[in-house]
Amino acid sequence: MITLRETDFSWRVPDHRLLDVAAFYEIPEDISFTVNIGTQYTIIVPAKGEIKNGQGTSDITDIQIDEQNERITFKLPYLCTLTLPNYKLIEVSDSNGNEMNATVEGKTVTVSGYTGQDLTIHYIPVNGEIQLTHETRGEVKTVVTISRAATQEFVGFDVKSFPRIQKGAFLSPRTHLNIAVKPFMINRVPKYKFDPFKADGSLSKVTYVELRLY
Amino acid sequence: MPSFYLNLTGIELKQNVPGVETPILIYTVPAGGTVLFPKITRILMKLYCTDGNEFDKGDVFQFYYKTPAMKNEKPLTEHFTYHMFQILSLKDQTDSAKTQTISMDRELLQRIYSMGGEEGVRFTKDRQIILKVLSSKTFDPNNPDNYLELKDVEVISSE
Repeated sequence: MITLRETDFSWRVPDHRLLDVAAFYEIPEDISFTVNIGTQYTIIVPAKGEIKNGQGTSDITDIQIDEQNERITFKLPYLCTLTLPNYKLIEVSDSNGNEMNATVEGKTVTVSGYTGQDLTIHYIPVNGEIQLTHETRGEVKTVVTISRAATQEFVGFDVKSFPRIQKGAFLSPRTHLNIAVKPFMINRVPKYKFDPFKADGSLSKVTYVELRLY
Repeated sequence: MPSFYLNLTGIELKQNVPGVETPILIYTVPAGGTVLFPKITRILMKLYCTDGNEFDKGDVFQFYYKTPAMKNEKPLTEHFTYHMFQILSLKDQTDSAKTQTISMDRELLQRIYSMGGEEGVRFTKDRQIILKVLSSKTFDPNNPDNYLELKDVEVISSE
């Protein structure tokens, strides 16, 4: 048995207009695994908002800058507030990828030490869709959905209802285990963008994967 | 395998007319898609109105269906109130002992039994599943905290 973590996956920025692959794990040569039905797993892919020159992306509202106290306050309407304490709810970083001191109350975030720099905000969003798929590429490409869940199911639901693998699969060498995501859409308009990367290209600490293969 | 959920491609959310039973959700099954609606399904729900609060306890909901050949919608489930959905938080609703269920409409059930007792109803391309509400309040489709999931409804190849 192995437990795959977020660092085992190769990450990319998915297309926010449709269900798209955000990360994949290629099964190594000469090894095969099975993913078993009923196995509990966790996948958290953060949404990313940005504040540049005091202007935020569309998923950030009510920006207030307090220059005197070097503070900025804003709201994240799509932040999942159901979160359990063992997960990192939010990460605010500057253009060098350094984490800044941020506190969260409800959906309102306060960042201290703000002196007008560009900010990148990673957070666990609501109502997004996470799919775990198995992709085989040969003469014909096949993609099988192994499990599907809403973003809040991994962090805020009853422990007994945490997402489980819904369809078992045999993972042969060189095939891909994909994490596909789709943001919350209201009448076909995406409300935020999934993107696990900070401004310096490193992976946000909000990203979390725990998946057992046998 | 995957359940019916608010972020499905093909779902349209709209405001209801206060005091009149009107749709707030219309799901049109896309080409190549199939929806299997069982006789009983578990349901999780938190829906918010334009005043920022949830629907009232006594507000009445009902799922309907419509095929392209039908002029009017027909009931798909029995009607149910918002009472328990308001009392229970989303986390509590996911506790298996407290999860709410809704049953299929009696007339539709009888039709199923008369046809040999199938497990439910199957909807294919262009069939619509509609959620209507009778409330004095107005649904806010843009509230990010809206949540609806029919856990036992299977949506196949919807993407």
